[in-house]
Amino acid sequence: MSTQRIEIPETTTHAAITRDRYISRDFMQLEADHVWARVWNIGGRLTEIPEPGDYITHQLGPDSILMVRQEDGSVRAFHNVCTHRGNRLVYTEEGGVDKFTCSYHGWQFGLDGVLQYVQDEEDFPQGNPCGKLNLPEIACEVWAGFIWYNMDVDGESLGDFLGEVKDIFDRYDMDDMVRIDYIVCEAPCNWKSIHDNFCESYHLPTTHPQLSEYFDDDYKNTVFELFDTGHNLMRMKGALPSKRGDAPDQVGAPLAAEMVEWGMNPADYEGRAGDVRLALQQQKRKLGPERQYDYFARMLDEQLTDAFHCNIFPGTSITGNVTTVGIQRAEPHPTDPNKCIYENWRFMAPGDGKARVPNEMGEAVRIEDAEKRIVVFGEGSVGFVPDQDLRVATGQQLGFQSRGFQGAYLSGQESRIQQFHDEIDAYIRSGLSIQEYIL
Amino acid sequence: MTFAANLNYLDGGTAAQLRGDPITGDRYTSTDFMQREWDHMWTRIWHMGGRLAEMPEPGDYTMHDFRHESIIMIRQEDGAVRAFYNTCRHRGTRLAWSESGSGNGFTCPYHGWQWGIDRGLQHVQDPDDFENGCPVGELSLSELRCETWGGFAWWNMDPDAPALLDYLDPIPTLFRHRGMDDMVRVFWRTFEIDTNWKFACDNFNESYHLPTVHPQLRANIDEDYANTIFEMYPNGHNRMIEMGQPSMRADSPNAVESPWDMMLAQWDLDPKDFEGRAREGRVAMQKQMRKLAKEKGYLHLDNFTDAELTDPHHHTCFPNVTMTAGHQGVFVFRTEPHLTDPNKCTFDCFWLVNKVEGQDTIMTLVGERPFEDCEHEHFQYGSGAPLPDMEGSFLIQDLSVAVGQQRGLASRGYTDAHLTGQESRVRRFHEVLNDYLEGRR
Repeated sequence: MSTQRIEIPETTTHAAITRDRYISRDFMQLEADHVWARVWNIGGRLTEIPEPGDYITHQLGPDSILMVRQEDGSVRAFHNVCTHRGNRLVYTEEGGVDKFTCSYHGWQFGLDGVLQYVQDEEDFPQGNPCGKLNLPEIACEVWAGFIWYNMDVDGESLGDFLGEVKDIFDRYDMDDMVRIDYIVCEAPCNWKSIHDNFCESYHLPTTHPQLSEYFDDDYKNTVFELFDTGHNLMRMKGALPSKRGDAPDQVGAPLAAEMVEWGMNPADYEGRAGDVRLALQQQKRKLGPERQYDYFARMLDEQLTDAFHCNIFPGTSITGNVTTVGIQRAEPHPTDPNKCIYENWRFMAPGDGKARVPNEMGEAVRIEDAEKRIVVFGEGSVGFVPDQDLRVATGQQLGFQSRGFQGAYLSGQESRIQQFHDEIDAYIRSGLSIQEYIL
Repeated sequence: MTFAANLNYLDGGTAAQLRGDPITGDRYTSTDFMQREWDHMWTRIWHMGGRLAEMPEPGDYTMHDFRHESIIMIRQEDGAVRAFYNTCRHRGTRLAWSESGSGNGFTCPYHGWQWGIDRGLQHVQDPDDFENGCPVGELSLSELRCETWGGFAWWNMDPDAPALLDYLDPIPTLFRHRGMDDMVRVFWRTFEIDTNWKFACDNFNESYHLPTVHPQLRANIDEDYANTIFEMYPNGHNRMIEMGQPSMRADSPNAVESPWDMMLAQWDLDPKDFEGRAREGRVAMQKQMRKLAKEKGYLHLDNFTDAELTDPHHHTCFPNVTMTAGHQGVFVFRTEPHLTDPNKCTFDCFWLVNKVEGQDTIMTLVGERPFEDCEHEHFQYGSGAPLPDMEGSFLIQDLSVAVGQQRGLASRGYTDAHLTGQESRVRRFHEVLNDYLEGRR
């Protein structure tokens, strides 16, 4: 690998956010080796594999990971590759089997990854590989109803990796939430362009002006926390129209709809929309138990109205909005730094089962698991707000091709972007030192 | 195999002959490795180029694009074939744009310079406007090595390379009974496919995958490694000879199943006579072929050995050509790297056959075809476009595995192959490649 061209300075405290980070194959390789292969990643939803032998696969950059429900109910994860000659073992994203059979020479692996059968077992000069050449196993844990894996088997535990993020989201109904949106799109931009966007709210007035009817997007009223884990938090006040909006004292349509849903009369707050937020928190406290939102009992008052938005290093963002949790993530393309895989998942707490959500046609439907929907970029929608974000990110990718771009110049409220890139460099630097600069 | 005893070869069924070089994933996915292959191997080996029968007359040419190079092979007035780089010496514009053609040479589409079939510059515009004198008669197209064997023109970019026949040795000796020069190419398809070019070298250097990938072949090919001959030659070429008879792995190896029954019937043997002893059909067929070959129009079988009559003789020529010979002719596979992406390649498949007197057509992978050189067809494998005429064929089975292997090889969970003895030719291929890359060849 010729990676010498990428300079990761040893001593500077901050990474220069330059264009090569978004377009260079060498930098992409460094990220693959030293970042993605050493962090915890979400592989899928635990409910996707209820029975022993049920499996899912996840493609992450060049790597494919196989996660399998075991006889004892636990989940284990393996590299999805036959140990014989490197053929991919499993081709489907999900399924149920009693063993895995390679399509090339018929080697058979058990659910536990153990090699059980090979053709012509006596023809191996180095000995029969059965029981020895098992699938390479990687770290696998479960949290929040998700299966997580880490290709670095010597890495920290999932709990240590997540740190504060786990504490914040343990307050939501993560285990029982239902995935009502499951959208995947190959987007023509580097994965970091999307994640940079999730690391700042400075773009809201320009890119998402419609949000000011519901969120107070002023950075002075917004809490930003950078954690030592490399993850971060933004707490943005909701149910509170932005002073930037046209009519900050009026109750706009989205806020009015939520008030009606919780048995309040918007007309009572005409001209004093700023008072709604605290009143709505109290109303949800009162009605939460009878609507079977038991988890409200462990939530902070702010969590009943505000957006709690965490970026989990490197590519995942998770946003709690009371009864819904959104996961968006951007992952590297297997070979092209100018592309990425963008996913948008939305979860909803089932509560008493009476809640309804709008479907694509705008009709109110029951809360149930959505089918995965693959969107061709430019042809379909990945969601109203994410469409706005992806439009910007893909335009930014075009700008990164220009040698006129000298590097990012960040506002204070965008410091999470700097933290994100510093963390990438820290991983690469420590990874390189582990390998004693062999690369 | 009496003549094989005189050949200098290594036992291809045991790893004892190998160094044990690891077959790592970066060999298939890294652009750096791709560049090393170009610098130290592709620019130094003999490439199988155009068919001589495609260029019978002086001025007839075939063109072969290989990565960023394009080679013109052209028939000369004296009957020889020479090879030139397809680039105008004036400012570098490509001269020839079609796979084959004929004429008095080439006129550059940019400034009209004209080059003769002997590569000499014949005409330039404004001959008086050259400070160093008119280049006509002075400049020639850049030439590279070109030699012929097997009815093909072969080209080599390395002026110091060994002669073609020395490079191919002992392949020409092994094919000496087969009349390659007279064969016609009745099938020629090229597939662009998302996998590294070396998939073919790996796949065609082992038969261990037959039971899983090509289960249908067990009805007439004995893929048991204990019954198979594996040979590895000093130049990096290999051979495998499987017995042409039902495999003991077949559901009922002693029963006559399709297509074994049709193969017996083709030589006037009654399949019913071989029920319960199907494998004895092989020797019976050899005797019958000796007796009936002339009468059935197979005039080219005279010098065939018994084994050559019935058993698939499979050869891999380092680095990228596979030739599988049977009594009808030779299947040739040729894999070439993509212009820039190590995750892609082109896979060429052609079937060369000897004419059979009294027959107008021959049954190919895609149905009956006339005994004449066919059109070259291009496909994009995996594009979703259906190939109904090849569904279930062994070729598509191999390609389907190749795409998956490329994806698995990119995984950090893969570190090296764990090979059977019968797959020793796979590692041998990579060791010969390493010899080129590391200066040992």
